[in-house]
Amino acid sequence: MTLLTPATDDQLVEAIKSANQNNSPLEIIGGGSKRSVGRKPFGRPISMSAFSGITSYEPEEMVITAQAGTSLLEIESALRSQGQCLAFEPPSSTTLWSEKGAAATIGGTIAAAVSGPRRFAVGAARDHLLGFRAVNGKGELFKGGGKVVKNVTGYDLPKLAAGSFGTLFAMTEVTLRTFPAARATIGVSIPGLEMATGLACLRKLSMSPLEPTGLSYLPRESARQAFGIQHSLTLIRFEGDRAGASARAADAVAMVGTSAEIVDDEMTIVRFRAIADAAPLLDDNADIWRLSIPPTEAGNAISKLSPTRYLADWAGGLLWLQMPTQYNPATIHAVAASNGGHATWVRRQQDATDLEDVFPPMDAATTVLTARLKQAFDPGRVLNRGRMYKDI
Amino acid sequence: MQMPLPDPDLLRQRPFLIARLRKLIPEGVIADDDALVAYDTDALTAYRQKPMAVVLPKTADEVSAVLRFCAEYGVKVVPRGAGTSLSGGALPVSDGIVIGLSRMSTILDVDLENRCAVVQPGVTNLAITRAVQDRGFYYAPDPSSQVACTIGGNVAENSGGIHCLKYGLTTNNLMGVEFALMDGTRVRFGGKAHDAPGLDLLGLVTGSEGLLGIVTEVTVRLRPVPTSTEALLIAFPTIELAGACVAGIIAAGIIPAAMEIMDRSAMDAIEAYSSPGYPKTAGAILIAEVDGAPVEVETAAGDIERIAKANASMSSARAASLIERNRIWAGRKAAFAAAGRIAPDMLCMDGTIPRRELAGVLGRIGEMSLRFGLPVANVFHAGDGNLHPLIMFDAMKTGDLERAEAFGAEILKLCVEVGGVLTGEHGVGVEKRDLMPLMFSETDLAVQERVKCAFDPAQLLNPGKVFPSLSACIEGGATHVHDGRMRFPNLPRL
Repeated sequence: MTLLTPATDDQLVEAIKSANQNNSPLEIIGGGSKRSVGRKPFGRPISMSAFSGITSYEPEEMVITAQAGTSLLEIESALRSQGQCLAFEPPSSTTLWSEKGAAATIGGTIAAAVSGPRRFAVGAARDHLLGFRAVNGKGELFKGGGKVVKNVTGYDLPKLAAGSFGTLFAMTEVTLRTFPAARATIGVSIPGLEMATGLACLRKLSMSPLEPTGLSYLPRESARQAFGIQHSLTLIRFEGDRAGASARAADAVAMVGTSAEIVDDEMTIVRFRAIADAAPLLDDNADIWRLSIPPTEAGNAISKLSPTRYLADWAGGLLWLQMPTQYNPATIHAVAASNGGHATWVRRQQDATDLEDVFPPMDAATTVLTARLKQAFDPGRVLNRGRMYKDI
Repeated sequence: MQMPLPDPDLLRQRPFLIARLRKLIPEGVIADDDALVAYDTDALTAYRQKPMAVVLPKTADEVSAVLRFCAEYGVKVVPRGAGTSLSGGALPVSDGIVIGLSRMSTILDVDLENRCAVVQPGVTNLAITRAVQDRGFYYAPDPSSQVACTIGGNVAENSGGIHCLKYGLTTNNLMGVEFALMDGTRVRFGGKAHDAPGLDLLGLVTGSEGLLGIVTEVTVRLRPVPTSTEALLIAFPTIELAGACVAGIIAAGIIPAAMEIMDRSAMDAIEAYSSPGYPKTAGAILIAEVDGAPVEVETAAGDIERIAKANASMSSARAASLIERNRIWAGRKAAFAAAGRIAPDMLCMDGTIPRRELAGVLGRIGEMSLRFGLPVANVFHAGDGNLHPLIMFDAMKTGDLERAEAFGAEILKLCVEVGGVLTGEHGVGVEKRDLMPLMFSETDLAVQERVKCAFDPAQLLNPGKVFPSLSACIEGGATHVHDGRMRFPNLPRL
């Protein structure tokens, strides 16, 4: 099917109205980098790439507005030039999330709600989206949220936008909160800890007032794969001005004991970028899962699921699992749920068109609410139908 | 303010409904006319309306049972925490009941390793911090009413506070809720994990002002108390210079935990109320609080003092002790009460604007004050551009309330004109309901009303709030009702 490429709000409205008239669903594509994430939607591809460019950026307001198809790299480069960043650290990777040659857009980043290692400290994509403009499945142009950092006027539709995978509306413009970028990044690395000890150490630091912005554990196999290191790594990141980050890193070393060592900016940045991209798990085409669970349950979940390789981030609150060729997806969902969390099948061998197991199963009440919200925003079910859940 | 017309059928059935509610919640139904006075308003005292009854459930199951009953009989429900809403969020309706959550005030679980606490909705904001502070933790959002306001109400209103600049609003500090829908079904959004699966329904219901359901349990994120905290009290000759200093601090890449500005009128009011010792000759003061590692706090405080000097600050003092810091903040947090002391009545506005518009907007508010003939005091969360002009008036004087409301509406209109919003943290409620079209198009509002319909198709929850027009839900949406009455299911003949 030929690719639709609307260039204005009006053209997008027309395209969606016509999709309704012809009962011909659309697959919304930003940069196409996360096209393989989630279930496979069916429908005619419609590219948001023409909605490109930064609309306004005022560093002193800590707010940036950009068209949804603007590449994440362009946004990050504009922010960097003013000493700012997107604090939720969206991975712009060319590995896990990306198909070859595809660059992530800001709209896709929000729609997929991807956040990096800093998430546990500063919030997720959802927390940094202030407002948006979009066309819903009825072909109505509307806006949600605002363009200032503090706003409770009306329902918080930006929260609904983040992580909706284009199933409710196609965003054409987003307004995000920006933050000062760290002037210094200092790491603390503890070699060779066993999983339980490493995770306990990370939790201890998460409970400290030292404000770490990275708390990750790589077992030996993952450390070897990513960095060629022959022992496990317990990694802690501190950001801020140099004196402050150094002081906090030194306090952390004192807290966890003598085997901890200080790691410089460059290596810390490289390591946490690899963690953001789940790089230690990407050596082959194995299935990859992402578990969001209470940090205290991380060790239990890993033991029960026996991944071929794994990586723990957010002090154990986020687990990346590489699974063997034979396993049961339902078991992963069940183990995640019984440990108070949930799992998402991020990368898989199979075509996911009819898979029920990509996103976590919903309870009855949530299923009803989700279906009603789909009905409210996209009654003709023309936008990314089936991307998250069957028929949604 | 036009509220939906009461349904005479429902009013006639009041004795029957009360009797049935008493069976459901034997010790928790208030229906005596005198006792209902205590529930006829919230902190927006310009509006008063007694409900048919107030029900005070003690458990989530009781909340569900009451909701199920109300859904069956088409009884409207107004949820209420501590009744501290400044926007009339808990204003009752005459043909509905109030469900008060104050008796559900147990802290269920403190889980420091997962940095969260699970609490019932009637627990006060400050009680959460008090329960964990001796172990070095706290709950960050701190609305001025934190002694009294409940966490359930905070979730419903997405409440803010003075520390939002660095730590966010309620929505950024929540991990999960248990939520009772109008039909009594309870559903969990989120929990102790960082992210919730599926659509972000936790984010959607937070700040939904009691229109989508009732919060029956909350999991909040706890934070470790910072190692070091410094509060600076800086005096400026004019409010414009104080505003310029705030812009300079942000431009320097410093994110203080809080930045608050008060103008002369606000300082005078507070001084008369609680004597915190604010500088007597200053045109405005800035309170800036920085926290973190001691060395960072020292650097940031020094930087802020330099930026203040460059903006012609008259004096700058650091709180020498925790007691002094608390005294500085106690004055600020008492600002609303203080303004309420020097005038018989007060309206507190809550618009947010881009910071660059601060000086212009404050100038225009000053002009409006003269034109309307009503004094105004300005306190605001300067770091995030959230204004709180306090309009003082006397409701006993004919026309004063109307003038104050017109003044307030003009301020909010100006906020929207310069790229801001109607409310930064207090909510729309009844107060700003009719101003919603200033900010949202008809389509924008229709889209939001359909969200309401997805959760509460019979529109029984908190009617008359947030949305300016009366709509009824149809399959997959909302339709406007032209006869000016909301539709309700008819009561069965009994």
